[in-house]
Amino acid sequence: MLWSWALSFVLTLVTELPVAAWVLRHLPRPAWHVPAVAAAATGLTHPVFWWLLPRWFDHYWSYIVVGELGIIAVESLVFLALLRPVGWREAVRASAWMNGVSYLVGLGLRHVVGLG
Amino acid sequence: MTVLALSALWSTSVALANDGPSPDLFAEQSGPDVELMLRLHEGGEPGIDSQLDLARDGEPLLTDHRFSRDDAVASDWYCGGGDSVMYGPLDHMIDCEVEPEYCEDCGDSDVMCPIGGCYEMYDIPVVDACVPEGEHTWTLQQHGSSWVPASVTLDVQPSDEACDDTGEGDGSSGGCGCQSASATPGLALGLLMLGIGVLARPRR
Repeated sequence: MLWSWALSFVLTLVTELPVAAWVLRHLPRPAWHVPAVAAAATGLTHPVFWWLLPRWFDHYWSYIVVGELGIIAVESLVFLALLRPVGWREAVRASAWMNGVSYLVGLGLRHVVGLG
Repeated sequence: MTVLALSALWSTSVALANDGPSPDLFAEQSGPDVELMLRLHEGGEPGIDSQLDLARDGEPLLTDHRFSRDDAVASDWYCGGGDSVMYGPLDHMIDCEVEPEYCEDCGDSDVMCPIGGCYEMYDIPVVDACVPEGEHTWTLQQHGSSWVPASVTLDVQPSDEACDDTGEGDGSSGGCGCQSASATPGLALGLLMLGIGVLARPRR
């Protein structure tokens, strides 16, 4: 299970960090800053989604939908706090794109090669 | 950098603290049927409270199924709860034979665990009826996960007994394919998230 989580976490980072860097590329910050904050935000939310959230839901899709939308909310707050002068719309946009892309990539990998 | 380090520490801690025991899966032939025994742990990964998929040779027998403690034919105690329980206030792993003051008797069963570390595990039978002869592999995994924590392979021998695949009894025999894992809701969710991203575009 630990290995499975680690693989999922790395795949998530590999997918999400470039998306975050691209969406927030206009911010007047060093190039490494946005990916670093995005990695921190993912590190905050991913283990909660993977390990803790399944215990609180009986239904699979309730868990997935609430979890993913919750992640967008939390990561947006992290961006707002750590990536000033980013606005709330930009923060939500970055987080939604990150998680939307990584979710679809995970879905694709699961169906194509059995990963995810 | 500090935030990144704290985030790494947090994610590793949550992962290590919640890596519960994996389930076990046993199989035994009974006439033309195969009796599977699932051992699911309280707090397991996946465990008794998880949504599970059970399959034979990749074909679903149970999908997105959650067992009840009432389904169990036997239960026993085991010590769980992660390192925080196993180490307690000490700087070394608690050995209940040496330090019984840090341990408790789980449900008066004579199984001793560090205080707060008593968890139950349940044996749940599932009958896979009318299994064709030959080698088959059964797998048990958490619904939606590709990781297979438990599998068992059995070479099913020809049986003289008549096969009765009525699906009666515990309601879990035969290949019911109750609820297939469709990609459509997932695709819709992914697109919804991208849609949120588009709608949240800043006004210039």
